[in-house]
Amino acid sequence: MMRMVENIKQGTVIDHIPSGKALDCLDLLCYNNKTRLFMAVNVPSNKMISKDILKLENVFLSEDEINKIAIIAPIATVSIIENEKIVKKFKVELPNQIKNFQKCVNPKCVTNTEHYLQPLHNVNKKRNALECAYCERTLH
Amino acid sequence: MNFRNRNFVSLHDFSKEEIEHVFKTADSIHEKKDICAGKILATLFYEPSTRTRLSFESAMHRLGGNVIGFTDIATTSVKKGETIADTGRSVECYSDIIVLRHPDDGAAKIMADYTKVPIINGGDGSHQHPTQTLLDMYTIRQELGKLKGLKIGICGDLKYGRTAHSLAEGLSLYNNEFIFASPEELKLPDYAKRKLDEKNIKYEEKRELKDTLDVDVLYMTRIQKERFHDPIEYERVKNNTILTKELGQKTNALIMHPLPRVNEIAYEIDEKQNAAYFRQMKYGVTVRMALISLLLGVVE
Ligand SMILES: [Zn+2]
Repeated sequence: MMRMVENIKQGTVIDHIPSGKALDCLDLLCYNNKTRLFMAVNVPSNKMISKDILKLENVFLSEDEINKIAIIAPIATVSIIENEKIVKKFKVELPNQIKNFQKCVNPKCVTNTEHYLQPLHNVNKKRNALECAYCERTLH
Repeated sequence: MNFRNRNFVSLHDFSKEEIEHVFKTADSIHEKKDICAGKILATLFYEPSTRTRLSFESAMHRLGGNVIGFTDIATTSVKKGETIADTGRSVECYSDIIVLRHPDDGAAKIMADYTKVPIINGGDGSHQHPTQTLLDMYTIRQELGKLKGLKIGICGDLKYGRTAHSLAEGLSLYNNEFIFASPEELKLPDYAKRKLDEKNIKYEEKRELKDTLDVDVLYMTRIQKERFHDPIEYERVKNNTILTKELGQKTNALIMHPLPRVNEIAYEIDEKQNAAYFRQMKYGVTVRMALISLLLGVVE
């Protein structure tokens, strides 16, 4: 198979991101590492029509850190690479809470006035919705 | 069941069983003397709510404890821009438990997150006022002897009325039916209906109070003129949700109101045995006494 993106010797590979959502994923991860990063966008895929891939060199993200991308990349798979070998592989899973995703939509919410607070949303898995952890307003 | 050092920010901080335990504790709380002696309750009121504050302060005094606090932010460091988190961390050095009233939605959670002492939400914007719901439920329990299998009428501003939403949420833990009466412009919002639908709760919607009289509980709330976009519309419908002397004679329901009232309930109704709104205030102190004692861990 044609090699789409440079392989990394060690780091984190996030595959099966919906097309065009790779940058949003980086945003959500608050990604600000100065190490090398490969991004492939609109790659043909068997599982999906097309997908994005992220390869973060020398960056090792924990499952907890990475799981929040499940809200925009629900079927993403993550591989942790060490010495060119996959040492861990997992599917992202929607966590109970998501930090820093988006500001609360309610203008009267206290998170919009107390500026030291990070936006925090609870995941309502029953309704598949995000609710502000402070004012409980649903994010659409 | 363990309540010690917990917060009461939202009604769903407590399970149904825990809510019932608060009520059981309330039943005998007046027999216990001075159980909060040496303890200090701080009442931090960022906006005035005289009734809620007096109720909490009365509760603490009846438990033998002391009260500190502020009611006017103009004279406090809050005015100088102190954050809720910092105010909480300062006040917890002076007190054992804090009641917070704040105009912003979700403010109580911040104070709960940043302090180690129990925080009671005394109303945060349009978010929650959970002790109001507890005392409303306790009133029904005491007056009617049960909390389930009832038909509950809720009348007034159902769009912005936090009290109405919370009461419906609390009572939907039990098998109850609802009739909501409000002007079209102030009807129950979709998200509140969705919550009831999710729990398979039966409810009807009416526009006039006269169609809501055949119930076990009639919960009246205030309608504010400012809530209407169109003042003419307000004038047209304002009398449809007033419990007049005549309508009052047609119902045997337990009549409740969070108070203060403006003109929603005619004064002639006050003398009726089923007019419970002043007794409701009394139950409020009782329930708050139980809650304070449980969160302080002086009763179990
Ligand atoms: Zn919010």
